[in-house]
Amino acid sequence: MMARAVWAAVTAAWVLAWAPAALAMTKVCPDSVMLDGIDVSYWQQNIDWAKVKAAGKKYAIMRATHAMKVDTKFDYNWKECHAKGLHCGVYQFFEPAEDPIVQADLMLGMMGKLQPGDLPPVIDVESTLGATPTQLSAAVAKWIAHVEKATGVKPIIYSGAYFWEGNVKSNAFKAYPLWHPQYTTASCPTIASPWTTWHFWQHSSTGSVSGISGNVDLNRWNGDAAALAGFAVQPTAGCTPGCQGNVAVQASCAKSDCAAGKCVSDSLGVRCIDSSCPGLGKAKVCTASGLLGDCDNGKLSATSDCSATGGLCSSAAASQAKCVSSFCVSSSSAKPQAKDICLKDGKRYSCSAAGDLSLKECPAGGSCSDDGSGAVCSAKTCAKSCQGDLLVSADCGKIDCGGLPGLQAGSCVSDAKGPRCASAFCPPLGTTTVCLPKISPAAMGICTDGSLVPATCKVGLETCVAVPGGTQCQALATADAQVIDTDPGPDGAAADDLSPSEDATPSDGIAGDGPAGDGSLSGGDGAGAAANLLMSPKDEGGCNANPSGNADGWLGLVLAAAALALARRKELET
Amino acid sequence: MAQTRGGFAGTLAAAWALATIATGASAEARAPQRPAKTLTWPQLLQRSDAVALVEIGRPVAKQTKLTVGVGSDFVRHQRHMTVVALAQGSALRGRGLRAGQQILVDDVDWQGDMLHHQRCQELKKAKGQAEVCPALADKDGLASQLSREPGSGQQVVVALKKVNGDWQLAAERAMDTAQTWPMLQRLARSGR
Repeated sequence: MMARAVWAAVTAAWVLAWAPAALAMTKVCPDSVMLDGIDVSYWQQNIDWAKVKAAGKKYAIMRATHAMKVDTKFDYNWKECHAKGLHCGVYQFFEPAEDPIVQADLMLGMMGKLQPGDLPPVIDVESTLGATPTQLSAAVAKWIAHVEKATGVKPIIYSGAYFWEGNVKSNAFKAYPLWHPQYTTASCPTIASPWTTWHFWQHSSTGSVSGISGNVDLNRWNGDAAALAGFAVQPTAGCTPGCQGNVAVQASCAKSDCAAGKCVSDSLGVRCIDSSCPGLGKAKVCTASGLLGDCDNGKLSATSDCSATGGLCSSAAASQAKCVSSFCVSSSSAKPQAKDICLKDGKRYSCSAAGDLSLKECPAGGSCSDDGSGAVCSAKTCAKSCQGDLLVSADCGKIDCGGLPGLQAGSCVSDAKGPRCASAFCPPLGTTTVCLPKISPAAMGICTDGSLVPATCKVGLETCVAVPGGTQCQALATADAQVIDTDPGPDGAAADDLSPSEDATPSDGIAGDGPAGDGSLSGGDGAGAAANLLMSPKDEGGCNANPSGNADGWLGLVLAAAALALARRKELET
Repeated sequence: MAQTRGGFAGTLAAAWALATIATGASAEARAPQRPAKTLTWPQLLQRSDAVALVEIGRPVAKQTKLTVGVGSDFVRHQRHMTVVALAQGSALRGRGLRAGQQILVDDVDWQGDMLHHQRCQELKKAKGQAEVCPALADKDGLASQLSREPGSGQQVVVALKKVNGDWQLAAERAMDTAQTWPMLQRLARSGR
């Protein structure tokens, strides 16, 4: 008795727990005729669709995505299914955790516009990912509304009866066709309660079909071929949308001549787009007029002129059009090559493979030249010459003679001695001495072909006076008692005439005012003669006109100074 | 256990090395040059670090995002994985795997998905119209008894390989029905 009571209680509890679900399902037998078909995905790998067709399958539904994960066999299957003349359909394994609209758009983009004979898209509802029935049905509703609006057909819902009853529990979708999975050998499936009939029945997941290796899902269409054709997408009344030449024809038969643009028919519909742009996506292009343009789904949204910065638009430089240097390519279609080039400024530049130009300096003093075999750097050479007061050197450097420091400042002269800078205090040719009273009464200079070496009179002979052919150093008190001829002769010896000449003293210190020497100062001889005039740093006694004796010390200094001055001049001039 | 694992790993490594030497490349590298092989379970065992009876959990997108392309045209991809829970103390040879443990396993063809999507988008953009994308080179896979990806809650047998700390399927479609499990246990015991 006790056992019977317990058993009755258990039975009642079981009935209460399970009966509502069981009672909610409906056994619906098919019509008299059914048509066989399959559904496939990546799991079937490479399908021989000709064999599938020959096996008598009338339709195939293929997976486009699992949520946002693309089925990599879809494109092949979709194309081949159509090529074999089957009714083709698409399903998306729906995940409520992902945005329904984003999922739907991915599927819609992959399948493109539905063609007459295609089956309506399918939402595969068999995953909850923790979503409540309210959340799941809301997500399904969003997906369905979006796809129905985009395609104009009512999507099919794939869902098992137990899954629907346990996880969706909604009556809101009964107007949509049902694809019912139930693996059984029974002749009549049992479907979820909102529906009173089914359109497709997936009756096996272990089917074998010629052309497919491994198992495949088998399906039945509840009706005959005519019913299936009637269920599929119908040819559009009116006009078939498409491009007729360069004219876009809409389903409403509205026509638009694309004129300078071009007509395309793609997932965004039939429309005119800019002739420079691809139909889909964003891209940078070169327009017919050579501008750099931004395309967005066939529309040219903005342009910029590469020539404003000395460039041109190139479609060959990179995957996207870009501005490149006009020095690097000859036309917008020419592919830039990485190379060095010479430009008119004599400098070397580098063109990158992307058509960008950058300065690539030659080594110092070098210039860029190109004899047709490529840009090379070579040493720069110039004819030595005067350009006004500028002395142009052999390496093409320029010296401003007027801007040389101190006593060296002068002008550029060009004569038998060649182009060179000559001090303003010196005659351009010959060797002579000049007084430089503006510096000090004892200051003087030794001129050699315009080059001036500073000197000064010795202590006791503090006044430099000009005399014919040169200068003399005189004592302040007895200027006429102690004089030394400062004019160096051709052999470096002092001249005979030691008399001072007030007239000869340059009043302004300009070398040209004094007479030019009659010989050149060369080697140590001339320098030695000039040295006689100079005050030794160590010997502050009187003037030493004698090359011998203690003159040897400061003679060496003067020789060195003169040699340094000449060397510097030569260095500047070469 | 460690010794068993070490011995198995050594055998695996040797088998893999031999396979690599014989073909001159890894399976992934040589995939484009030859059609995919349909593998038997003994062959797949040789490639596996673990074989387990698992219950399929929820799919996840691993937070490591893979970005392909530049500018406004880039395509974002996430690494698709699935949580699987080991059932009934079911791991063969898998180090550290135990009953009830949940692990992340790469989805079938997630890498192919990324490459395919990228290539397809590029083609579409280049030609300005919808294009049928080229099929990816096939990779070796088990002659699976599954006709479709297993659903949440379904028990299946999986062959796994550990790569850089992540579990991946040891081959494409390296899944089979739970009914295969006793046979695999016998196979493992026999040392094949």
